[in-house]
Formats: sequence, structure tokens, C-alpha cells
Amino acid sequence: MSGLSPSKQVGPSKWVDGLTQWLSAPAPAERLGLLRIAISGFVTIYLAANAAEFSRLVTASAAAFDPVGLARLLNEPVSSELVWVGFALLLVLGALATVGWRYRIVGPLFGLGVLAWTSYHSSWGQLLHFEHLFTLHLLVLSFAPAADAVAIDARRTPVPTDDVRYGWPVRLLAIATVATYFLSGFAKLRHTGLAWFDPDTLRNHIAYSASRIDLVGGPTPPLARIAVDRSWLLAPMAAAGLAVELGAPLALAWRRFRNWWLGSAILFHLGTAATMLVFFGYRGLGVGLLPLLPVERAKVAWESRRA
Amino acid sequence: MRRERWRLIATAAFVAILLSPALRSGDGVPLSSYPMYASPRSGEVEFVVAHGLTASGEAVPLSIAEVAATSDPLIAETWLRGEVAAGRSDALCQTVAARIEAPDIVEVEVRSERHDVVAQVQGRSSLLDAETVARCPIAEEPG
Repeated sequence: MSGLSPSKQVGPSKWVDGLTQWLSAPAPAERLGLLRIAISGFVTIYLAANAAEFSRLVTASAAAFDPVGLARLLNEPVSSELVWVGFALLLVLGALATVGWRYRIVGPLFGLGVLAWTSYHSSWGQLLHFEHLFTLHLLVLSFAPAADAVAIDARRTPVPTDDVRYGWPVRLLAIATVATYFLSGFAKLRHTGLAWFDPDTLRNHIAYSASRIDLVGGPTPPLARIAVDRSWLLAPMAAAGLAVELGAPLALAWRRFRNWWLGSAILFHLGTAATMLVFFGYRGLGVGLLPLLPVERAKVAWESRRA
Repeated sequence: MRRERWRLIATAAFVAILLSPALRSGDGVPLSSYPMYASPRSGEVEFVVAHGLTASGEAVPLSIAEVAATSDPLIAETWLRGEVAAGRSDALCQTVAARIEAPDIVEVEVRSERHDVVAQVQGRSSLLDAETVARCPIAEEPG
């Protein structure tokens, strides 16, 4: 994805013009189509792999129901039959969205269905922030022509020329990605301020996470003990993590910085997994970061290798 | 040109919506200010834990799936804490007991424990305080 940069025009409006040009830059239909496959495919597999969560909520005490998001429309938990029908529908819609079949109808249904599920999943006293970004991404994709290429819908039509209608949704997906990182960093500065750089702050967070896992019966994070024992390591770790989060918007602006940032973000997620067993799979596996990349080049490279 | 301006305005609105939770410290789905791990945390933390007891009174650790029917420690902790805070400790104990299949476990005990979390990670003695909030037998299967 080309970087966001000011236009060559001099004056106060140059940034606005640069931003307008960036938003209006055409992109290949294949890029949006491949993002549809990656994002919808990830979410479908994620839902299937989390069937136990659907099962848990079927048996959860109604007294613990504390609705958020779309679930606020409900006064009480839905029946177990509806949960399982919803689960099956989401898997079917997810598979159809991934292959790009009747996407104009299936895409919005899948996006809204996932919004309904993630709302319901977070309605039991704990917001599950790791489900937010893919929900936002699916909602953006829902209203985009994301099945005009690499889709069943598009198999009998030639690949369209590059167009802003494929470029703009990709920019919105990328903006959503960097916004979630920036907000996380901003929250740390807001709630903790400069004390974030105090080694005790990160040490207590790591120790709390590791203890929680140990006490409720889960596996211990492999690097928790090493991090807690080395307080000299903690302030640089805290600063590096914050830099990744607050620096995310710059990845939209400079292409060269983007690649550094993407690598750092993956390392950041691996670090939180190894020290705290906190892993945001959608971002940590790189799927949530793909909107920042010209993903269609991977397809071209793969096809030329096959040829 | 007009379309470009509208695109710019729509994008600005999208960004404003995404960032709006930060302005009001809000949290929800799918918009959030992402407050997790953002506030300072004490080194002494209270946890609700559940374990099995044998006939001789020996404590047996339970898996996270047995305790909370999930693989996510965050969900498990929130659920345990929420149930005890809402005064449903006995129901919580019975829910956990219903999941136990190990034949040597005859009872489940739910405790509120305060730990020095750094000591806990370092393998030192970490328990500062403990209180049993519920205890219940494993129901015997008929036959």
C-alpha cells in the first residue's frame, strides 16, 4: 500500500490534499478480495475452533448476563437452541463469505452475525477485546465490493481494473488496525502516565497474568519468570511496547517505516504471549495487519512460482 | 472532486467513531478505549480459586476446563470472581463439582486467596490471606 504523504502543493491544505489523494488512490480488486478471504477465513476458523465457548455460554448462569453491544437488545440470555443455530449459521456464512458467493448479501449478514456473537460473547462480565478488530474489519468489508475478484461471484468476469472503490475500503481496514494499537497506547498514558515506565508497573502486570493462569489451572507463560527476575529489562520492554502502539499511525504514512512497524508489532504480540500468555491471535498471526500490505503481490509471486 | 471530499469526510467520521471511546473512557463492542493492562496494578492481588479435595483432605489442582469450562484464563478468572462477588459461591462450587471426573476427588473447595504475585511467579511462598467461601461434595453417579 502506498504511503500517506502530503501533496507537493505548498500551503495549509497540503496535508488535506495528501490525505485525499491517499484515500482516493486506486487499488487492485484482488487486494480487497484476498483480504476478504484472509479475514473471513480467519474468523470462520476461529469460530469453529471456539465451539467450546458456545457450549460454555449455553450452560452459563443467566444471573451473570450483563449485555453489551448488540446484546443490549436482549433482556435475558437466548435459548441454547438459538445459540447453536447461530453457531451453525455463522460457520456457513463465514465459509460462503470466504469463497465469495453472493457476497453482497452474505457479507453484511456475516458481518452483522459476528457483531451479534462478539457482543453476546462479551456480555458475561468480561469484554473480550481480542474480538474487536476482526469484527470491525468484517463490518467494513461487508459494505465493500470485496468479491469482485478471487471469488466465486467473479469467476466468469474479467478481473476489474484498479479502482478507488477497491482502494478506499482497504485504507479503512488499515486505519481500523492502527487505531486499535494507538488507542491501547493512549490508554496506558492516560491511566498510568509516566509511571508506565516504572519497572514495577510492567512487572506487576506480568506477575499478575502468570499467577492468574497458575491459580486457575492453565500453563505458565514460558518467559514470565525471566522477565520478573530482571527488573532492568522491564522499563525498555514497557517503552518498546508503548512505541509500537503509539507509533502505529506512522505505519500508514511511511512505507519504509511500515515494514519495521509490522515486524515490531508481531514481536510485541509474541512477547506478550511468552511473558503473560496474552495473545491476540488475529493480530499476532498477522491477519489483522494484512490491510497495510499489498497482499496481491503474494498471489502474483505464488502464481509465477507455479508457472 | 466532490466524491473525493465526501470520501474524506466519511473517513474522518469513521476515525472519529473509532477514537470516540478514548474521549469518554468508554468500553464496549466493537468500539473500545482498550483499557486492559493500562492501569497500575498492585503486587498483591485477590483471586478466587477452586480445587478438589480427596477423602483424606489433600488438595488436588483442577484444570482450567474443569474449573470454568474454558481455555481462557481471563474468562475463567472473571467468571470465578463475578460468581463469588454476586453471592453465588455455592452454585459456583456445585457447577465445578459437576465437571469433576477424577474418582479420588470427593469434594470441591472454592477459596478467596490474596497472593504476592511476584513471589508466586518466582516460586516463593506467596499466599498472604485465604478464606474458604464454599465447599461441596461431588455428586455420586447413580449405579
